Amino acid sequence: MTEGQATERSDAELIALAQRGESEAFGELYRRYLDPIYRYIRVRVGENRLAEDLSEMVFLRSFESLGKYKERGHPFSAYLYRVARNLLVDHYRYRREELPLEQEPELPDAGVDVDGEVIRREKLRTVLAALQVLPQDHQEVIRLRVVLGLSTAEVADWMGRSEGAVRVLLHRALKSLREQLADVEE
Amino acid sequence: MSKSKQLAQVLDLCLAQVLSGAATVEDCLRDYPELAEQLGPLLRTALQAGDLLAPAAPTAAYRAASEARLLNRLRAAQVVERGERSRVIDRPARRRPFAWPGSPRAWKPAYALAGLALALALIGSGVGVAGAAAGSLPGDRLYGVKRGLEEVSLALSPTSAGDAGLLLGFAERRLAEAEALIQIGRDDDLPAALAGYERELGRLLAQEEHDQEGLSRLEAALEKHQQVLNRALESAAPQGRQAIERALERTNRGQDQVEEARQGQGPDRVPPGQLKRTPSAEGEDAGQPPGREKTKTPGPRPDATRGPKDRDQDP
Repeated sequence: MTEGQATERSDAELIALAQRGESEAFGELYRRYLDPIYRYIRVRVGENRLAEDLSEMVFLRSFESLGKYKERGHPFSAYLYRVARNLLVDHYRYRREELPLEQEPELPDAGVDVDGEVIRREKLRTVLAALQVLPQDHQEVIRLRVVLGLSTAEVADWMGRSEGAVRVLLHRALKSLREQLADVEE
Repeated sequence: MSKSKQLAQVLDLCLAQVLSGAATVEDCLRDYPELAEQLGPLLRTALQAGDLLAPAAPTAAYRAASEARLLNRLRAAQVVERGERSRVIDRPARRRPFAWPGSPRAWKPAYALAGLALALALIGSGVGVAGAAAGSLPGDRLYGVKRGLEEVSLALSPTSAGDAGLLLGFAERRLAEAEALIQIGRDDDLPAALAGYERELGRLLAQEEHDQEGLSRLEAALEKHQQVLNRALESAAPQGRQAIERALERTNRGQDQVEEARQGQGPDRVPPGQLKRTPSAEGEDAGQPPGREKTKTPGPRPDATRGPKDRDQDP
């Protein structure tokens, strides 16, 4: 199978091929979904190398359990997301730590604007602290919809809710975040 | 529709427009003046969080290396599951487009699968080779099987932390083999065992160089290796001593590297595109320590894998 042919295939076709042992078909799925899965994990762990290792594990685990996978109206990315979430839970359980909220991400070098970078880091700490006290589903909808920029439909698929429920949840989550930030700033 | 649901819907709509760059917050507030008072703060909060927390996309180097690694592991896992000996043998050639021949890790599946194929063939014949191979030493007929099985376990390890643990185990196994060879008077085979030790150590250092927790483990392990080698030096025959001294020197250089890495070479110092988890194919082929270790050898160094600070610190 050439790459050109693979890119024309639907997820369902690639999954069927991968279920028959075609690792190249799974490679195409990997290329399609590495980016959102990596970015989701990266937001959660705040460390490049760990995010890289965990992202690879998501795809390995997904491949291992692909035989049991059935579409059931949800996209493959939602399946990968569930694997990623479970993996994060396992990872922190193994390390006997609380599942942390986002660690402080590694910010890019500020270059010449050192003051700007200091201010940015301070703002980042404030936002992280405010986010940390929100309920888990509020945190998650902010991560997916606002930080990763997924569409409402994608967030609904990933979180297993209706689009309407996601909109309402996002509204509540942003309101709570706003209130927390206001508290911190006061 | 309740006012709350209406606000949620408009917020979602505005957020989509603002995130895509199709509109500004002010545009949205102008479009929905009756909701502007509530919408404004929420949209600004969202933008602030999105801007500050947005993660970078995976690097191109990571994508390529990771995909090759993933596919290699999937194939290796399939082989193990199915025990398809014939496919084991022809797979590397058949899957050439995904073998990434130029990549530093391209040797790994071929080596691993060849070892596995041999092991399966021998085990299938009822000889119980795997167990026998486990106790083999350099120069023994089954030693290749032992090394091949090690590579299989490495290929199947899903994380770099797992790889590091295995590589450390392999290095210590090579040392144990060297001790055993001395005990039974096979000092002629010492260079092979200790070259293996140097090789595993090189791969391990390339793995661990940016991981502080790993560096601590490595530091403790290297100290232990030094003790083993010094002990071996006392009891080895003259023909084996040169290899032991070379291994000791390699261990010392490893300690220097660890020390240097601990003093301020965090993960961010990895130059873009460096495959920090994979040893250099060139180094492997030449029987030299791969990756960063190569840069520590005396003489002129094409030091592409190290940052400017590292070069400045060189004597």
